[in-house]
Amino acid sequence: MNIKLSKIGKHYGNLVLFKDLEMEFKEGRISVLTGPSGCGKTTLLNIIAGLDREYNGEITGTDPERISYVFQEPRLIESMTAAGNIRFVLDGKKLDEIPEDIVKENLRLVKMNSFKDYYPNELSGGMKQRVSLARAFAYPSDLVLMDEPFSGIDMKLKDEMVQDFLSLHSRKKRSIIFVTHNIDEIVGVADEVFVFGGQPAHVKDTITIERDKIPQGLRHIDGGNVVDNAYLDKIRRRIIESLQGVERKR
Amino acid sequence: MKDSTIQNDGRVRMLKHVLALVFWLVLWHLAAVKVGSPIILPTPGAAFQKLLEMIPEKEFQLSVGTTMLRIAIGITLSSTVGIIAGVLCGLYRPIYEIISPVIAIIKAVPVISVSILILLWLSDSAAPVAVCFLLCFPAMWSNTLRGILETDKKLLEMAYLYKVGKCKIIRTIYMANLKPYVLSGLSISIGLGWKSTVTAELLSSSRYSIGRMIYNSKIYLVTEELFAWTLVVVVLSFLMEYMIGRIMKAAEGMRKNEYKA
Repeated sequence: MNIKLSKIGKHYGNLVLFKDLEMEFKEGRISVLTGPSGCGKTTLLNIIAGLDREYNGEITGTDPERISYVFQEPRLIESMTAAGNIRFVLDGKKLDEIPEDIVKENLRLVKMNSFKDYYPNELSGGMKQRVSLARAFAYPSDLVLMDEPFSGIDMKLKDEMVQDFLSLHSRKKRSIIFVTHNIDEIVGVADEVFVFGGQPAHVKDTITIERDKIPQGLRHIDGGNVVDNAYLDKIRRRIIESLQGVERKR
Repeated sequence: MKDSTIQNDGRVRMLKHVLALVFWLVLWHLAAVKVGSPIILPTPGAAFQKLLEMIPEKEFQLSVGTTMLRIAIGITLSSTVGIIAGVLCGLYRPIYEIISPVIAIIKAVPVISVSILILLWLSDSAAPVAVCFLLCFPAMWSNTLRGILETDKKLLEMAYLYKVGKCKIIRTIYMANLKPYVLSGLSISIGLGWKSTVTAELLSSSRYSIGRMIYNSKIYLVTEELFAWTLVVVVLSFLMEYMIGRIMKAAEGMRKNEYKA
């Protein structure tokens, strides 16, 4: 089921963040939400996640019990190992497989299997964020929200993590709402891009990326440089123009 | 190499402590010689000698044992109740609203008036425990409460999103955060516990108690004995704090192993 937001309204005091916001995210697709900072992208994720309940309007197509979230920070529990942190969100849930297998499989997909018994303070920032990524996909969810999950991670590692993310996603096609400013990340992962802006914030531009027009292997960012492809170049220019248009009006 | 550096650091620190101690003992000795009256200020040598004489006595051992038992009971009770109440108040606002005025009053009432009142209500053996409880409980409560309130909101949000049960959130996220707060609460409580228990013993003249022994030494003007008892209290108070620190450390190690599995 697609996720539909209708007539979403949200304000902080006098600041009106959203007014009658209408959006639709396609099931099983990676939707990227981008726009200038402070325009309410994180707030929108929190509203969809059910973490922020002070809003007007209606959201359909989500099950609050089945949502994962990769936060900007890893948010791991220090007293538990990498595997323990994933187990922590699985216990007591209805699962298709044995929890051990789910933990193992997801840690393997983010290349963290050999670190499964490490505590967060023994891991680097990038490794911790991988555990957080594995946790989001290990959890039985239909929707994964991602809030600039790769910001603050260096280029090479970021590229690896984007690939980890895509391999996690291709295994189970969940709906993804991904917030980022990074053009390489957008082009690298998105099926659909929403450029957000204005006050109150609304969707200025929607760009669909037809993945089948991109040859296999070009989907990923290659060491920070997106490989030449006329179609991708067009998309890149369009996103950049859209973003610049939004920035200029502020 | 690294180990020996750490060992050296430890030795240097130890040496500094010893030197500081020697400095104050010398100062005490000089002051005592200057005053020249063992009733007003005995020399440290005289106080230590008195202490050595006292230790083999049966009454000394009984008094120290009984007082320690009272403090142990008082602190165990106050920390158990304090931690439970602190956790509940931190988690449920209405409980906080009900309990906090009571604690504000307990904190504000002078120790001496509570002590005397309790002495009227309870037996002379139980009263010091109750006084110890009343003093330590607010310290444990407010420390625990702070620990709960200062728990990382982001982790709680994560656990909420992933629909982790409330009990499990308390057991893992809150409890892990609580440890340093509880430890500092215990440290304050041990200091307060010794002072308040001994004072209450003195006021109630409880049978077999350090408080009563101090009272006696005052009546008979055996000032060396008063100093010797004071030393006993100080040393035992330090020892108790050290031991609780060790126990908490051991418990922490056990908890970590539990999650490793």
